[in-house]
Amino acid sequence: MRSEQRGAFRLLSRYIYRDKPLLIKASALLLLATLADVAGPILAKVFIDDYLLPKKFDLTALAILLAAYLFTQIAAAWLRYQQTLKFTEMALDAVQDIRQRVFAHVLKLPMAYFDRALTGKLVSRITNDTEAIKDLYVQFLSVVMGNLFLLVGILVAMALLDLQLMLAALLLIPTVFGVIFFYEKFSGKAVQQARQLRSEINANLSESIAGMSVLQASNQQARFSRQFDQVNDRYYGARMQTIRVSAALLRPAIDLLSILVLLAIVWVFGLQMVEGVAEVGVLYAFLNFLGRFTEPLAEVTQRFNLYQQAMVAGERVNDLLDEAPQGWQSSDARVRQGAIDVSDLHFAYQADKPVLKGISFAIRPGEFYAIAGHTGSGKSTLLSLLLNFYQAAQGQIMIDRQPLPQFSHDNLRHGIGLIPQEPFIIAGSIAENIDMGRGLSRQAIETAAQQAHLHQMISQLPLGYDTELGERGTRLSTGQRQQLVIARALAASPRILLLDEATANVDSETEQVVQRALHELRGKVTLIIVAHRLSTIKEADQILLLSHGEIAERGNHQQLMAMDNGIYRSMYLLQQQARRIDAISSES
Amino acid sequence: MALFRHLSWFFKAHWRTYLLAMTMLAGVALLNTAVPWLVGNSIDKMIAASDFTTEVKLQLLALLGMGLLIYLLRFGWRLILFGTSYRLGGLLRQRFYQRLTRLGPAFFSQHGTGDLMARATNDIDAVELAAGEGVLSGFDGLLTFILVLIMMFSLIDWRLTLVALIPFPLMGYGFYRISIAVHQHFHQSLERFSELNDKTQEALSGIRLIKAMGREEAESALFNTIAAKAAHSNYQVSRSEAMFEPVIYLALTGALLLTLGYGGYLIWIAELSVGQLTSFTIYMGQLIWPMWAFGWLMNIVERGSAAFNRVDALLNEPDSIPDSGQRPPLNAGLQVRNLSFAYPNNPEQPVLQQVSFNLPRGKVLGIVGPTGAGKTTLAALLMRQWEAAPGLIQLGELPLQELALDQLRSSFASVPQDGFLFSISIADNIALGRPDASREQVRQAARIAALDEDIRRFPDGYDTLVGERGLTLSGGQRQRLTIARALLCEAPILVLDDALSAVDVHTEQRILGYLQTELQEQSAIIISHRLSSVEHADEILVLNHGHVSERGQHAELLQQDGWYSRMWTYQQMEASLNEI
Repeated sequence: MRSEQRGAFRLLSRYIYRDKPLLIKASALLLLATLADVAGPILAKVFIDDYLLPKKFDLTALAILLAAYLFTQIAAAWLRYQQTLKFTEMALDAVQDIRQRVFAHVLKLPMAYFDRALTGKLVSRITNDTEAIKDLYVQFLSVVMGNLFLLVGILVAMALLDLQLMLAALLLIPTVFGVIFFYEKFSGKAVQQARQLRSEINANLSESIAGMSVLQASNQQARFSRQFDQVNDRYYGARMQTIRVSAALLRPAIDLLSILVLLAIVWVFGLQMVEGVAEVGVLYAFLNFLGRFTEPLAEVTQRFNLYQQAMVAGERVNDLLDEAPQGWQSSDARVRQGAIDVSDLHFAYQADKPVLKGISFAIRPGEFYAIAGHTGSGKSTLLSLLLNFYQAAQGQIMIDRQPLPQFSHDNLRHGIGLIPQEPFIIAGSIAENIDMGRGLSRQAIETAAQQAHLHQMISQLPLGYDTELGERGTRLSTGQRQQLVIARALAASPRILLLDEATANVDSETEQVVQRALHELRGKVTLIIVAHRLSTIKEADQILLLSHGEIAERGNHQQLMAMDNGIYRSMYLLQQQARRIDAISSES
Repeated sequence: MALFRHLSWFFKAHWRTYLLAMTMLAGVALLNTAVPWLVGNSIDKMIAASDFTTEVKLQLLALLGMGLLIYLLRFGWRLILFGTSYRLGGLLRQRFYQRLTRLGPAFFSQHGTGDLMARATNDIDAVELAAGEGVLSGFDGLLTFILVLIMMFSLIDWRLTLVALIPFPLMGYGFYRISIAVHQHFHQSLERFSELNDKTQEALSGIRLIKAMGREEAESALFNTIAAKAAHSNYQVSRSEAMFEPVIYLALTGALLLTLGYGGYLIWIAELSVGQLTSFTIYMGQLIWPMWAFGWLMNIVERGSAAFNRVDALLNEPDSIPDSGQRPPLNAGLQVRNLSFAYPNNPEQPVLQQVSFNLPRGKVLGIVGPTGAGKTTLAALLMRQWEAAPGLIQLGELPLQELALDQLRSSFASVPQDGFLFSISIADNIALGRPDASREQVRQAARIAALDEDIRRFPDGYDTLVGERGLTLSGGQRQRLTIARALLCEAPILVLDDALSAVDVHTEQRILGYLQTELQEQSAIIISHRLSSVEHADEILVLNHGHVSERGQHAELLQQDGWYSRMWTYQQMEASLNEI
């Protein structure tokens, strides 16, 4: 077993023992069910051999037999059902736990992980892969375990009835395993090929759909149809190969084997007849058992495929759980004043492409700082570093004279509020949207709404703060959404507020909302705004202009505008020219 | 059963194969019903003779032969029946693909790729299942049911049969009820699963925000409730499914008890033998499958017909652009008269209004204007990717609708905004429209598009695999590749739709210079955000909100204080800012 496989196996098997009382209960039920189950044919044998054939008509004995038969069989049905439910419950609990663990774990992974990972694949690991594990657990625990117990029970009952005949039936087991072995050997490649061709069909389709206009424009429909047909035909061929192997080795083979065993039992019975030791009731019981004997074997055979898929899925889930989450300190350092000192900060996503090259600045509590620059100048990266999404390669960020990594997760998030580019609304009430699961008091929520000039609007709604928002609830205007997001950031009364200004064109209502908020918050908290529209930051105490990862210019608006050939000045003029263009295109 | 009526064309075409498979199935059913009878008969003979006679031995050997024959027949019908249903799947998929090639952008904007792929794979699988296992379980179940009943009634004892079968209708009813419950819960669990998927997707695409807000715990809690709901749904499915076993078991137990009781009485009064009782017991085991099969049949046929409806709806989708004309264009002159257009899904919102221009052969037309002014729509209408009102656009003095579609399309070589690459080699990607082009021709086109040097640096040169499963090209390389692709077509009209946006200014000028000097015969339509691309055009149209707000040559447009001259100033300022 490879080491990844071992990890997956450990992950999957640990859950079987997790809830011991439930496991014991389920196993006990299974054992009782099997006992009651195999008792049926034995009672039938007693009836045939001791009463029916000798023509002994003992009413009490027959009544007891009947009662015992009814009791065991109804008990068997009930116990088996209960047992299945218990094992299913175990399996589903386990999968639910794996799912929840994986999800919580993924959320704690460092930001850099998400830059590399594809969201689609990650989603598939959390949902599809755990679903495959679920199928294995449910099937394995309730079907395979149950059937294996039954098999053993039947064999024991057979041995008690007649050892010779039992040995004849026992031959079936190694033979079935032989068949499974050969099936695995011959089908493995064909199954894999069919699966691969199927994903090729998918890839071909999605590519053709995406490039359909190109195909049509260059008159290549016929050629690509032919190519698709070829893959389609190969898929057909691969599937025919799998059906050939499974038809030769699975169901038909097992049915043939059961006929062979039937023959062997009747044959041994014939031999016993010659010796004069044969009992008809025993034969009857055996044939009765045999009908139930092949079914479990066939079931176990069919689940093999499932087992392989689940192991692959388990490996992937296990790998994900092995990814190291972002480490956080648990010190009690808090953001109290909101002073920020950045010294000689260097950062690169890829070793040879530095994004920030020696950034230094110091912000006193309550100052209004703006960061401007071209796309790709490094301003969003700087914001990410302030939020501790990434760790600097060189240099450091200090908040209130303590290095950033020393803050605990909760203390840092409480101390720094973020107003993101996209005003993001969750499905829930207005209060929930401001609280965002932080468990704030209603008082704190209302104060925040007042600061964001939203309180009056909310009070006029019939349900006030309990008004539902989101897809099925009330819709807010863009400006109101922006206000809500500001209230959300203010609700935890952070000492530092980061604002990531929207890049896309924003309507003037939203722009005014942001302007007013900035104006009011000035001096109360430390404000850092990553600005795209330079008009928003005219009033900033200090503007840092980033260019290619370095601070190219710094100063307030007037100082920067006074620099001839300055980048800020050029950018500002450029934005004014852009307004002139917008003016002419909206007027015509 | 409407599904089988819809698929009757296929069954009719393959009636011989189906007949053969069914004959084999019938053979299996017949032989299978003979097995218990032979076993019982052998036992009776042995008990009667109190000996293992040669006759019995021969009878048992015959049983062995039957077992082998059953095996072969089973092998055979599987191959035939499943093979045929796979062929049906392949055929449907092929038609599906061909239909897709005849549909236009309007269709693809309405149907997501994920949805279309689900139809081509999962839905077709469900139809296959109904045509293969559906036919099997229906036919085989019915046949086994009838044969077993006949054997029980005629060969053993009709009274015993009647008595023993009392629990079976109850079992059938139980199966029916359980199938319905399973179906319902299964549906619900699928929904819960997609909820789980949505939540995960949402959380992971908003991971930045979750982390910034410190919402990890809150999100996990939300996810946990959904995961718990999903688990509950799954439990419901399993609980319903688990009911099958006790129902089978209790019905069978009841039947066995009745058999033993009443059969015992019949043996007592010497109207039944022990061997017959044994055969009868085995027959009863064989009746479980038909009961199962009917429930199963209902289930897969229902799923199959839902799936088939979805596939069929698509197969019946009419061509987006009817290939109405037969004539080739007389020349490459393009005339547009008072062209107005609105997309069919939004007829209130005109995208183009009263646009007119002439593009004689060999001339260059520039189209500029703000985003959303209708530039790309105009290009799409010229190539009939969307349908404008008849007669407004003429190519080679004929309205577009009178031209054969492939002739029309081959009059244009278009370089769209986002150069799409297929997962084939670079050379094949360049030669997409002209698969028979020589390597030298391909290289020549790549050289003009300033791509040749880049390609030579790739691991396998022109044979490097690109696209989703190959090397990822940069935006600029992709654009140049699509330009090379268009140049190789040597179509009379070249359409560059913002095709040089990711290419640096010097390369842009080189490519445009080549077009100007070398391709005297070819006309070109250049749509661009960068005004320097259209500087030398014979005519420039400024589109604004769907109408032509300014037109003329570069020098004339600069004279006016309009959009063009303001944008020109802006772009000059921007260029000098980039040089700082």
